[in-house]
Amino acid sequence: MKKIKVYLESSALWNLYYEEKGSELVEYCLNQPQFECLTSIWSQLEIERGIKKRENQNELTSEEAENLQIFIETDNSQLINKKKLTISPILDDYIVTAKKYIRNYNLYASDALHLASATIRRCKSILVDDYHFKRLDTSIENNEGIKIFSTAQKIEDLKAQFSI
Amino acid sequence: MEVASVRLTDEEKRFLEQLVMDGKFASISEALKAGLYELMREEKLKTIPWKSRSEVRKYFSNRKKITKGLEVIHHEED
Repeated sequence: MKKIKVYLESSALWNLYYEEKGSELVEYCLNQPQFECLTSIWSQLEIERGIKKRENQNELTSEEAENLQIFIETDNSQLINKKKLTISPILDDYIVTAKKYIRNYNLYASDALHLASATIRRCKSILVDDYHFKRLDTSIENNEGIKIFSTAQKIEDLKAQFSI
Repeated sequence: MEVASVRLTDEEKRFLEQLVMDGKFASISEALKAGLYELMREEKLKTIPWKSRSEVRKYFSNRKKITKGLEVIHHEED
């Protein structure tokens, strides 16, 4: 069975642990054998910063921040070991492609790097939170051949997209 | 940093050397440390109040969230 490659942008991964909404679709992709989920090693840094920022803002105590960091890191390792998630490295050609995306689509550096990782790894879809979804131009889908999904969308939408 | 000696069987040593040859670790020392960190994490996990992702989400569900998602919503005009 050929698997459908889905790229989990860091905001989608974050939804998996911290946000009330948006985790359903990500959980579905991780748990369905038809999908092969990938993310960039860069996501680990963005999540680390997301935790630290909340600690700085007193949204999390330092103990909660440390616990959350350990939980996410361990959970990610388990997902990798169970072959449910692959971590993509950042190679020179990813940067070259990301630069092109910044120029062509006026993307922020981080968004461009995620998109480059997804297209180079031949992902059919990229999952992002609703905020990023609204920020990414629909012309990306047409030009790069990748479907952008918001984590706020329904599982049925994803199933329909890939005729599952 | 301290130096420690570890007694290994031939099989264990070959296994570690293979990991290094496969490029997974820079040295046998690094491979052993990775295993050690894994054990340390497992021990630490026992002190964490959650066992699953849904428990984590539930724990933070009533938290007043200052930032939505991973970044502050901003708009660049330039």
